Amino acid sequence: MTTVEEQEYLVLARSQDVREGEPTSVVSDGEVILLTRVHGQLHAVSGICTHAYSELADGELDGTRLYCSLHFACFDVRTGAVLEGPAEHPLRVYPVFEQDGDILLRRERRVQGA
Amino acid sequence: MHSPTSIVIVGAGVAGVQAVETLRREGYEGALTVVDKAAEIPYDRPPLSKEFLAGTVTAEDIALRSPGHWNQWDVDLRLTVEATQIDPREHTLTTASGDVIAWDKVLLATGSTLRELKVPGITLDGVFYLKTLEDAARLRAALSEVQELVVVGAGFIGAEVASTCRKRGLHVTVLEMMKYPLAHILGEDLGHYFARLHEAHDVDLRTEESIVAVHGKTRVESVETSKGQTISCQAVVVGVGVMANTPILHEQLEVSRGYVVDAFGRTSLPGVFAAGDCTVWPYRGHMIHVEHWDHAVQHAKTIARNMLAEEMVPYDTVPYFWSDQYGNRYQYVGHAAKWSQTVTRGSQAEHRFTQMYLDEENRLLAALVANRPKDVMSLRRLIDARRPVDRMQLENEALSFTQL
Repeated sequence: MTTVEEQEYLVLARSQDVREGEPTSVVSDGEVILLTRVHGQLHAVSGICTHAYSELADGELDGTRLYCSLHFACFDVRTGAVLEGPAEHPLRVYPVFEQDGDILLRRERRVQGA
Repeated sequence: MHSPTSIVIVGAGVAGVQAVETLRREGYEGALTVVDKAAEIPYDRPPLSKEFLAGTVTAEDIALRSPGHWNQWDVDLRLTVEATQIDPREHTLTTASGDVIAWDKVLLATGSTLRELKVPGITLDGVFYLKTLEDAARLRAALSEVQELVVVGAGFIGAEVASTCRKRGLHVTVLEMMKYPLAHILGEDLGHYFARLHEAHDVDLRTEESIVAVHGKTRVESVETSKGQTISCQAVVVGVGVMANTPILHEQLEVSRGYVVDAFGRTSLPGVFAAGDCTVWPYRGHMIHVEHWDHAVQHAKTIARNMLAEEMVPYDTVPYFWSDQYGNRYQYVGHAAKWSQTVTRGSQAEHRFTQMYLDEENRLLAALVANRPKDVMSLRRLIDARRPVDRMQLENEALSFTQL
């Protein structure tokens, strides 16, 4: 049995729905993904704080710094890195790009062959 | 000021751990000793009455920092060790077992301790307090045998325990001495709201009623109240408030409802600092005592820096805490022992509202935010700014708080 990796693309949102400085979360395959746009550039990280349960879309974006609204953990939306506060683990970063007015997530799917 | 070469931190709660992290981040390379009377690797307390009690997280999940951090920080972490005496001339601490630890500087981060109930029968099996991981683990284990629970005190801990236990299907009675829960902090209007919240979740809330005795042969079978009622139960949880824990005393160490510190975190003993729940500290002209997680973190961070710094920075962070009850998230920013007016956005009926507390000059003192987390950071800044705000604008939902 062999395993083949296939690329697939999922539409997460319309480009116009993610406005500069306004964090927006979407749910894809049960995962909450937080989309942000900073100086026009789109970023996608996991949407739940790694410290305690809190949705990061409720937080505040200051440039590329994202603050959680519960305990004020602070992450870099470009890299997911912890910048401040109680969180120990970085946010996961998702590969996203924009095409024809859509925001697309690229992911690898493992397909088992014969 | 010479830079310290040995620092001792007494207490490994969230304040003590934050101080360790800050000292190392700020480049302190000297000896660092942390003593705590608990046996467990330092853990986070807020989940104890919430997720831990509900059984959705484990003890490992709530460690404050992973074990690797303690090695990386090069800390002499001494658990089950109780520091009992300080000698400011010899610069030593003495432990309960007689060990002597030398210091250049000390941080007292001894936290808070629960108020105890003194009624007949209180020592029976089945009566629980909730402060430590051990307390929470014992309560959680016992709950499987409990159908009826009595919670004494409708403060934040009592309310969270009631909420968690209702979700587990227990029959819950809450006894509250005051007319409304939390009214001393939030006012009568919100006190009434929180009373209805309990009732809406089928909790039998009895106000202006206190416990006078616990009855049972070998373990609790019922409690007797000040109104002469007997309530059948298999467990009692007591949540009647906390006070500063000040185990280390000295004639020159000023203690008044807690270790008295100045804006820089200094106690009255040279070289001895204190942070977090164990302190009373100056906030806008009043000496206040705050026993919440965020204060412990921020206070310890600032004071740890001050322990190293040539130029110290005053601590004046706007206090903040949160409470999860019945699927709702309540967040409170600021500090208001009294206020002259309140303004509300949103709807209590929908459990989505923000109530703001103002002084006579229209300055925002505090706010209770119910399920509107986006309001919290901007309101905290508005409180910090201390300038008068327009009441109409505060009320106007169309205006973001960041615009005021």
